[in-house]
Amino acid sequence: MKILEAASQKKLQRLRDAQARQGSSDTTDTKIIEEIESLLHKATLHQTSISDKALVEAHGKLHCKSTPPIAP
Amino acid sequence: MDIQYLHSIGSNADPVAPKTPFILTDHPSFTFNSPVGVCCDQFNRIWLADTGNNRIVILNSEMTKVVKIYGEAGKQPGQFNMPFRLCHHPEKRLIYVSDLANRRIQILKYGKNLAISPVTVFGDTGSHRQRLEGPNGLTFIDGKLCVADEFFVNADGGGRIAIFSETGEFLNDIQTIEGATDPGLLWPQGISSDNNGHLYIANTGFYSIVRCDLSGKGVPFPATGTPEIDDLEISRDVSIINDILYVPGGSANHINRYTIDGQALLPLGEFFAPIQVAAHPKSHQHIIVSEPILATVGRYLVVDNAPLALPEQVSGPARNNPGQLYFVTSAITETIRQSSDQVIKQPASGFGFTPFPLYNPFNPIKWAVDSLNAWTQNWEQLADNLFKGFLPDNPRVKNTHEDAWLLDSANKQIKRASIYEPYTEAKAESLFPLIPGALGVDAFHSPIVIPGQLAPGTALFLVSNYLSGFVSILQYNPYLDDLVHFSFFGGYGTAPWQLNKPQGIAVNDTTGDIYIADSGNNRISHWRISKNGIIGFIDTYGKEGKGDGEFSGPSDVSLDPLGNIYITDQMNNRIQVLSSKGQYLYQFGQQGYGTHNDNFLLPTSIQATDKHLIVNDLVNRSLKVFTHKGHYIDSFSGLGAMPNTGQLWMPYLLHANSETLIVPDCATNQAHLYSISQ
Repeated sequence: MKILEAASQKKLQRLRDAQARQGSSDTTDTKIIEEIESLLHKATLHQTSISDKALVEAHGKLHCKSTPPIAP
Repeated sequence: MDIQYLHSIGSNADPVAPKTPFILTDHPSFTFNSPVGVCCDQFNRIWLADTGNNRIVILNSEMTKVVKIYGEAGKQPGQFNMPFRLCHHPEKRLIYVSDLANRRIQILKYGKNLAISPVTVFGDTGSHRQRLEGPNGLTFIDGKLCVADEFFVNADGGGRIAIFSETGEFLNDIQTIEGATDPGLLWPQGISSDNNGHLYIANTGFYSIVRCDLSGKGVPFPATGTPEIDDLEISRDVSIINDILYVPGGSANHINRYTIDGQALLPLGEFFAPIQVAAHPKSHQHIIVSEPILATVGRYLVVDNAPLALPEQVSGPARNNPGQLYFVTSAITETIRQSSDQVIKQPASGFGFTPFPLYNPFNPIKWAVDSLNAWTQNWEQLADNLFKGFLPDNPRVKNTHEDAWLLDSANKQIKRASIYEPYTEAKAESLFPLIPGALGVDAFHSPIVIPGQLAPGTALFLVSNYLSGFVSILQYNPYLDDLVHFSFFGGYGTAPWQLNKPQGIAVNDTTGDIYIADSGNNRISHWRISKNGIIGFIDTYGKEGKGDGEFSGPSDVSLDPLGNIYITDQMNNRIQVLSSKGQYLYQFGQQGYGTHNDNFLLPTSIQATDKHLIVNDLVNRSLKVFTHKGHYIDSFSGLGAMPNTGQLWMPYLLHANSETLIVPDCATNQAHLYSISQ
């Protein structure tokens, strides 16, 4: 099973590298996150429907930047 | 202990089966289901492997019209189980189909009038070396068919490229690439070839494209100095179009491009988990791209030196027909509310309360805490009286038994379905909308009424969002007949109170403790919802690593009756167990193949029941049952998309109660139900 082990090592190293890159230059748009937080505050205060249009749109902006956590 | 398949939720049948040919826009209810492979025939038609629907859909070159639908689920010639990639014969009117879960290749003959007939089937008989274990990508080179045999396992745990004659006789295979940096092939998915007799292999398990000749000798890329193009986000496929290599998903949501010498060109964006690129039959400036999660195939204009591929025709309406699911990720069983006589009126034990005690000496902190508790008690009584007589008799609300609640992520809804009515009734019913990125869900049944709860006795839903990193707590509003915000916490980041790509979530009904698999931060995040409805951050457990209590991509959490936390430590291929306070207790499992043991390859989800643990072991396509201590008991396994079998393609965050196991499969877009017998 040496190939499984080698692939596992490579995968873990990539994960670490990705984390290091993430720490030094975070590509997630913090303004969008702040906007979402603000919208969630309002939505909680007013107990609005969770399909609030602005919230949906703000998350939509993040959609193209993030790969799905699982894919065929 | 036994797991038996019961039935599935989520319809994949066309609501109205249109007669071909038809224009796609005339039949918006016609949908694809995780389409993957694409190729063109000699009449400029585009053949698409509609993988989750077990059929081939043939489109006109403009991709506006379906001209033929061929095949169905089954094992006979002309039937499929996950038809994955398609490859045209270099000269003859033959299409080769990798029939992945039937573990074979089918050759289909076609004519100008689209009369299609199966010619032969091969790869499913003979010795271990002659049989295919998971045929994926296909390409022709020097008159030979090369097959990326994704799930073949050699003595070293590696995969291979199997080589057949054009009529299906096994000739040879390639298991190692001479001169390559990586030691072999692992789960190779895609393959292509050039006019110089070179193969290009998407070596998925090593995140690379590797180039070799038919003997397996590596052919270095001048740009990299090795036979590999490395460090790809994911390597699912490689296509050569006009001497340009296209690697879908090579960087996040992009299609990487390279010269034939391995020199990187500007990647093309923006896509969403693209899986295959093919040349357009009529235009050198266009490419065809399939995106299974979006259930689409599109024609895109590629402009030289531009980083964008302009979509001109994207086919495949959204999967929002009644009963359809669309990237279903998570499930729970739940009553949205109990009947009014079931509403708990008294605080449960452990939440004892003495109203307005006298203090001598006066203790301001204790006074404040007890006052808050008194307010809680008053709210509870008020809410109880308010709602006792006014809750609407909503036909959507079932009072008598649990329903399945499915997080239908791409439709952005939580949907309800009965878990007791098989087959004809087992369809998800549209209900409550959600925000994009919703992924994991759990329900919190407070033993007391929480201040601010509009429908006492109902559960609160906790939904993790992998895009923004927030966890939303939702409650049922009986007046709006909708879920509304109750509270939220988290938010994208690496600070202790933040989350990065949160996945599975679990909440302890007794204590209000909330645990989240904070996969991007490689830790477990611990929060608590107090009896006053206030959400507080408690702690995080673990960091990146392989040691005890360290994690690599934890994907799911579950709690046993004692409050112990069971975690799928996905990239470390093991299950770790922590106490409710995050203290490492023990672990079990190790990396390896197997459907009937405690080996794991990307364990993705876990559920603790009173006596057992059920683990979704993704690559092994196995639902494995263990004791709480990690002793293997039983399993249900099987790769495929055959209807009414419970076969698995991309099972995700499962859920179980003492009798029923629900496994959402985000590629077949169904939730499978299994009985659990003791």
